[in-house]
Amino acid sequence: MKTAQASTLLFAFWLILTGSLGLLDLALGVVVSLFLGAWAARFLWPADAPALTPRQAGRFLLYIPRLLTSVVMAALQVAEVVLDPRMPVDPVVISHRTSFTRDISRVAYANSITLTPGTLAVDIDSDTFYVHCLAEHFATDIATGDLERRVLRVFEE
Amino acid sequence: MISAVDIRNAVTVVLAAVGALFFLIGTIGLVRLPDFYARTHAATKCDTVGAGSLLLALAVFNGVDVSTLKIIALAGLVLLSSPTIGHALARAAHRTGVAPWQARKGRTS
Repeated sequence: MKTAQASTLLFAFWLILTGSLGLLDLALGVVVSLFLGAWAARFLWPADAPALTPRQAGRFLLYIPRLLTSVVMAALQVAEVVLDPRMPVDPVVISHRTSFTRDISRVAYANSITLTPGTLAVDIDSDTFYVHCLAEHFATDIATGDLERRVLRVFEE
Repeated sequence: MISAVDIRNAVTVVLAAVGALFFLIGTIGLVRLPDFYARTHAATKCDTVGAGSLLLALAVFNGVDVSTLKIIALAGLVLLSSPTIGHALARAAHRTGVAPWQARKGRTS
């Protein structure tokens, strides 16, 4: 089962990379994907592979455009700080305790922190996240738990 | 008369210019910001958008094609790896005891 998943993913990647539907290319792709898939399923796959219910997958897809927008906002925010002659930075490191139960939520949360304006995920100590903020007001979303609730809604409901 | 090719070229130029601008801003940030952590902000965020915008420009210029799929896959990779690398850098600094710079002294962080 795991092998089939890994192989399908690898074969899709192969199709994109070769960009060819020739018989030889396809056959070679199938063979290589099966070998690599079997290997990956055995050694690379985590013990609890992140399985999403259809509803969670849907929410995840809706979460992506939101994340893309916030990346652009984050870059603009950094640009504003950097290009300001006074350079108004007053960095703080805050810690925030979370109640995630799955690793995939922790990964998504850390990534979301780093991609939102002015904040950077620094370290995780069991359930406590340490976040570096360029200025204190960037920390609002994290301190109030808004960001955490959004991630919880995607992966843990 | 403006043809579809003209429009495509214009969009390409604008996207590529925006990408280059973000790379420039990220680099200025790398020089100006006070410490390692703040510089990591500039390096990861501005470069993500810069690279994304440049790749998007290439995709538009290339049109609907298999190579465009490759470019989109690359953009996805950048979007995934950039925050991961930023986090890995920051965590390594944190664990080896690099203290964050503070504007005001005597605050508990």
